[in-house]
Amino acid sequence: MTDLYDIGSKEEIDGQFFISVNLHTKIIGDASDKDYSFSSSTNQHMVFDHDPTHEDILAKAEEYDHDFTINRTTLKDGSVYNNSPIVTITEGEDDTTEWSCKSHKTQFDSMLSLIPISLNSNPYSISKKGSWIYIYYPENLKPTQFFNESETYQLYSVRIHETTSEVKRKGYFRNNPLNLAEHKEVLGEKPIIGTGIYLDDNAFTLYYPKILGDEVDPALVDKPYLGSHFKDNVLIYTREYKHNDA
Amino acid sequence: MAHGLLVKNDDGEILIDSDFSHYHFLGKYTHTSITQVPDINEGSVANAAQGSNDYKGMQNMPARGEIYKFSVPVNGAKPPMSFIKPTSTGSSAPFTGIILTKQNGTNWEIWVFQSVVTSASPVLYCFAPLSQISNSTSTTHGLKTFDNSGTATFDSRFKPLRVVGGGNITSPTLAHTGSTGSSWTVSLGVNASNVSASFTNQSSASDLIYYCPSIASACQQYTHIEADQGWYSYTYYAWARGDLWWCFYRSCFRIASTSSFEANYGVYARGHVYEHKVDSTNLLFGIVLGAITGGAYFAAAVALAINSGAFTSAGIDGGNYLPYENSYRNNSANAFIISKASYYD
Repeated sequence: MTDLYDIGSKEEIDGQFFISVNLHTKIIGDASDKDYSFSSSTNQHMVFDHDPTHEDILAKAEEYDHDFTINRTTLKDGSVYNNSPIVTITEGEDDTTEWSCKSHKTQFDSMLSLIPISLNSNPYSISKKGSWIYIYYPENLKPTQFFNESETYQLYSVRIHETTSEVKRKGYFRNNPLNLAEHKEVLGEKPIIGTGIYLDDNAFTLYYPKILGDEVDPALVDKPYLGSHFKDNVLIYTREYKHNDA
Repeated sequence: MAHGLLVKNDDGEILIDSDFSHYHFLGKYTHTSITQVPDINEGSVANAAQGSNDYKGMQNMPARGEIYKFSVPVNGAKPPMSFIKPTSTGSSAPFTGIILTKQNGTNWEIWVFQSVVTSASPVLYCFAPLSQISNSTSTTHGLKTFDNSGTATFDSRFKPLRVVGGGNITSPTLAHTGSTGSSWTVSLGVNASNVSASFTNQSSASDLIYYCPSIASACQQYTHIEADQGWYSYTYYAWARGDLWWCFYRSCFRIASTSSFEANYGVYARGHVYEHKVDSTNLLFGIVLGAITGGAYFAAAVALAINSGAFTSAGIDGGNYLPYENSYRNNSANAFIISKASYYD
């Protein structure tokens, strides 16, 4: 038995062996259980003048330039995916860690079990700050349990109090589509890469690269960025978001 | 033989036997129509934005050969022997073979398959027993034989078939050797080496005609399945795609020189079916990959495409054009007979 290939059919005609074989390609290293994964299987036919051995099939696959493994950690757009958890750093507070349902399933499941209400759909990631548990949903996994039809964003988060079950909601846009200009007087001119809107408070968060000039995808956190939180148009705090090995 | 006529050459080979229904020249025919087996291309996309959408047509597939249909007026139970006068000869000539002979009313329908499309067309020189030839002649001399029932079996006035060469030829095993593709790029073109057989040397290759029905076939395929999932631009994505490409090849032949006959394959039918699933509404990756049903989907897609009206429009029966995978049938002991067009022009 091998997981490198499986034989679909084998036929002997006039002493020749005609074999249809599915050659598999797997991700090597520790990436296969990460947020990003890939697999492929290619069916080839091979001809031998004898009943082929395992080594014969591997040699023929090599002759066909088949790669049984790939070291692939890049995303659809070719960027390299960093699979370490995202940490949030706030001056004067403990750091918090965001666990992904794919990459950090043990921590994710453990924290998910603390939520005092039932969820209609599981989030993509989760973190905990004090007594509040934060859960996050991507755009195409909109949690309709918490957001109605008109409340449409590109990313969703829900904050649930561990003991009171109180729920607070936040929706995110890429860039600054609402043209929230108040920040300029406080933050200076910043290239806003994302905007978070609190639906249950008069508050918002503006996100921008930590290093000006960096191009940052806030969904991937490919480079560190900052988030300045305004409540009633007053800057309350600024947090840094990055992978914990960044 | 108590009575009759038996003529042999110096090698003891029979030239005329009055008990045997010799074949005589029936006529020279041009095709009535040209067609091709319609491409079989079927698939659907759940969400074109996810997963590669490239190569969903017949890209990189080898070109199909074409079918010349002839209608030969010879009313009788014995099919005509149809010799092909090819469009050209030599090492660059197309390969040609008869792939179908069937009675259709008072005519016999002959399909000649040619490996590539050409501007010129092959011509058929057909022969039949005397009993199925209605020619008349005013010539009063020659040689005519009868069998013991009084039926004419040979008549020198009606251009008996004159054989100048022949033999057996074995088609290649597979039409395509080596890798059949990589990722979404298929490679199924005919690359098998030509097989040659020699015959008695003649003075002019371009004058030769040959009888050699195509009996060998090969069918080869390439499949590729790929699945991907991840996190991109605020969105979770998960897709899987599986493709099956195949070619069904028929053997065909050519006059390579004044003494060499060659066999290889042409693409008779080809197809590409694919299944593309997107399910980004669930974080469990296995669901979308498991949604690829592979063989079951491919079989249904092939059947769906073959049931289309395109086959009727092309004058081709819908059939099983994916009869087996990566193998060949009936490639050996294909008899061929060589004659000359100038004997009958």
